[in-house]
Amino acid sequence: MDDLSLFMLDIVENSFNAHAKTVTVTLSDSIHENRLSLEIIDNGIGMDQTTLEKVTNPFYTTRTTRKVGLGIPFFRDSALQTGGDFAIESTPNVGTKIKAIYVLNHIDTPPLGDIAQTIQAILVDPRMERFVFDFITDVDTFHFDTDEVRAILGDVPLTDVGILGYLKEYIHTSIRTIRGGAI
Amino acid sequence: MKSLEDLKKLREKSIQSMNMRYVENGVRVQVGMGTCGIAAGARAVLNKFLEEINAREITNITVTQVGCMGECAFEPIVEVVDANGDSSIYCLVDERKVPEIIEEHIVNGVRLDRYLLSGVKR
Repeated sequence: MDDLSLFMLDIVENSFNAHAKTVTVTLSDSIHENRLSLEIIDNGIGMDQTTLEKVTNPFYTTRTTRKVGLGIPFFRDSALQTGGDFAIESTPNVGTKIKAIYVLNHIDTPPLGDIAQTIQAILVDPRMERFVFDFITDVDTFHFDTDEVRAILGDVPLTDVGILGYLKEYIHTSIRTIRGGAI
Repeated sequence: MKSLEDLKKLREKSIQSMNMRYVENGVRVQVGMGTCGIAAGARAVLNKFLEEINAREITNITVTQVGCMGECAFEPIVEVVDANGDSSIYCLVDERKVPEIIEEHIVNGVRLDRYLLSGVKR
């Protein structure tokens, strides 16, 4: 994975595989705290303690199409190698919470990548019911919620290609603005 | 800065083209979005399909994403399901191949055999 936005997409896919109805992602980018964190919370089927202990092992997967599961190990290692932190909590039938913290000025901290394209890919997932995204910097915040978008759209589907293109541009511009022009 | 207010205008515009765009049993394009697909560039492929379909105003088509398709070495993998239910699985798809698949397969109805998973030597 080249950047944080790809990790974000990969982990959100896990949430949909766990039948999550709502997925909430919070990205916090703080120069003051020298910290970049990505947190994904879902209300999927969750995991018991035994499964939870196995998910960071690359040779564990629930999939039947292959024998390795690299998503979570990749994500964890990317954060730990910057001197950051990684935590995963889960409760069966309640959901799962994953948080990775990067040391912002560490050379191995991945760039943000194209968050707007990642959200677009999440929106076209037929399993997605509600997606909430918050981007927080030291000075500003950006909030996105598919429920708010749907309230405006009414009977027009979120997955209309014209609407998707608009939302991608809207998210991209908003993130760039609150990061002071950088992306 | 764009705002969600403009979304209302776009909504009106979309409603006008809706009757054309949403027809049951149209063509389905499914992009594999497992860890393997994502690492191989599936997100950019999905994005390209959406951009091209929007730009060319192609109707009667749905683009979605699915999980790992089990052939990780051949990702990005894209399945095109025609209106009659015929399935074609394209492998090692990149942004360059997307306009070609749209033009030949989706618009002209000619399957691109050279990009199919079934045609790849193992």
